[in-house]
Amino acid sequence: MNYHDLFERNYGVFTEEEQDRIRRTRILIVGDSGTGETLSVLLARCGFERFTLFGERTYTKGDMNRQIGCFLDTIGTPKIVQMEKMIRSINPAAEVSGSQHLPGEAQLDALVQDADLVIPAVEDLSYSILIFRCAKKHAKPALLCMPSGSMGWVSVFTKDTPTIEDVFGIPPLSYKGLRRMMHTREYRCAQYTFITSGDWRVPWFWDYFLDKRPLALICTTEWMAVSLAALEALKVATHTWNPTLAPKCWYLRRGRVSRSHFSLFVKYHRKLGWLIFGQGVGKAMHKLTHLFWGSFFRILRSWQTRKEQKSPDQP
Amino acid sequence: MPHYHELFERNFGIFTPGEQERIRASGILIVGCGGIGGTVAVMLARSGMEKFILVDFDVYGISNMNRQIGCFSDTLGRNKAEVIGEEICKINPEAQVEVFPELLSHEKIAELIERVDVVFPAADDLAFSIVVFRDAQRLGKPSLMVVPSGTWANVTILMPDGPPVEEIEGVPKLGSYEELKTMLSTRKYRYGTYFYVPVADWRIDYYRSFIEETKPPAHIAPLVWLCSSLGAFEVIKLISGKWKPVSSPRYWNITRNAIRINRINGLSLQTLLVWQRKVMWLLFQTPLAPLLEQAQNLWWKLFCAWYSYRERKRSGG
Repeated sequence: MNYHDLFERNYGVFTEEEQDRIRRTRILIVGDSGTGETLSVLLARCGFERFTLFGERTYTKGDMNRQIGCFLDTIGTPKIVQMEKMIRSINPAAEVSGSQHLPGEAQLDALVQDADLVIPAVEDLSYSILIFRCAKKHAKPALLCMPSGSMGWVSVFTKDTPTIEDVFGIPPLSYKGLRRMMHTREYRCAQYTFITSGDWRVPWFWDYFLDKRPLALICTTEWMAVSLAALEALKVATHTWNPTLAPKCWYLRRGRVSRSHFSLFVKYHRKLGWLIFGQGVGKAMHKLTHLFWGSFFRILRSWQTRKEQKSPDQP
Repeated sequence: MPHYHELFERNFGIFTPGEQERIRASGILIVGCGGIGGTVAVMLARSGMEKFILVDFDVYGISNMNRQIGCFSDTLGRNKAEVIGEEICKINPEAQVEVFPELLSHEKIAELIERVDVVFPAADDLAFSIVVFRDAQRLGKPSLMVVPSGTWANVTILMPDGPPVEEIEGVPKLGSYEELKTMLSTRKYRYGTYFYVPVADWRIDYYRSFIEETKPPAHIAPLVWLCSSLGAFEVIKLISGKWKPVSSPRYWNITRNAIRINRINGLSLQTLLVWQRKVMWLLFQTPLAPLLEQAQNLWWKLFCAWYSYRERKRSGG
């Protein structure tokens, strides 16, 4: 199986030189969330041949609803092992390296320097931000692919674009500070768009809020986001088309998809929220804010219940 | 053996138990399990659908590797419907999968249509798919249309009482499969796909070989998977009742820089192309046909020369 035979149909769109650029691009994927593992397989099918993969999890039953390498006979298998197996089964000449442990800050620096395209794919947003910061420091393009429920964002961040913190209105904290903040209930309340735009059911969100449930994710949204991310990776690698650079993004919402901008409303209300309630005296007011959020989620729940009752019994 | 609820636990963050049950109880017939058919089948299985009828006589070849979900080194030479069927059973052991690894007649396919809730004609042979779309509408079943090419694609749900597939793609309404097949393989019809170069980003040399029937259609994985996931989402919308599907006369128009909902005869480039095909087809039935063919051949030479020049410019040559 030579490379040209495997990717013959790509040459209908890309020139030899462009396909060669795809082949030579080194992809760094840190994390083995659904987006990371599906994206690695899709990129292998595009003709990318150099992969550095990091992830520490094994497949569980809960991954079956969306993860490309999850089957009954791979439950319990490390995701990285399965990804490598699938990539090599698509292209036996692919060069796959990595580890079953996530890299620390120092190792990350060296890995990013060596990569041509960086893809943070961990569910922990604070760690993702650390990777995006590292990519910016080394002037490497980084790809955001973030689905949640029926919503999602896909965009490319470079040294010249706004940062991920800018577009999502995340405060400029250190990794430890971000991690602490993202585990607070106040931060999770600010993710209410998961319900209003991502169609999360309120009882699930409430359990997620209490750390009893993981993110709600469905296959169709996740794979749609991954396909758009793979398209952006091709744009970055070939230099033929302009990538969707932040603050522009592909925005998925309730089964719709468009090329848009990150929401300014979400950005500024988060920034304002942090300014007022994030530190000092504001923290003392958190109990008051809980009253607001309590009523807010009750309203959302009754709105959703009414909507669900109206939905038809038969398809 | 894992329970259904454990396997699709995260879906319940979005769907009510009633909606998920509707997804579970619905059945789909997929005719053609290659690039789009195989990917939609796997996505629906991962969404919790349990009833599948898969039809495909074809086997995996090396040129399928760049986009087809079931194509791996160890599945080369194996039947596509069988491989996808096995994959579905490894996702959900309770799934009921019926596989037909042979070429079925339209009569047999019509019998299968009556047993499912949604039909997905995804055969490489467009004429064959068009007849399946017609049968689905005649038998009152919704069908999924996904048409990818290069960096362009169309996706929609065709409802039984909605406009047919021919209205979206501008295919002349010929009666039989044989007539459609003959018409679609004529050079004058194939010229009608010229937008593959400016809109779907096909390279002109490759497109020239495609017109001369020495190359297959150009496909890249991200676009095939993008339109497949949008198609699978439309099926989920339809059967769960959670969201309103995009159905004919509306359809998704996908390019590498935009994804929009168009309408048949709405203001769009595709409307222009569809009407151009319809009018040209009528004109080709008149005594003007020989003259038109000469004009078309001249246009083809100019078209190739212009795009060859543009491509050379693009690659700096």
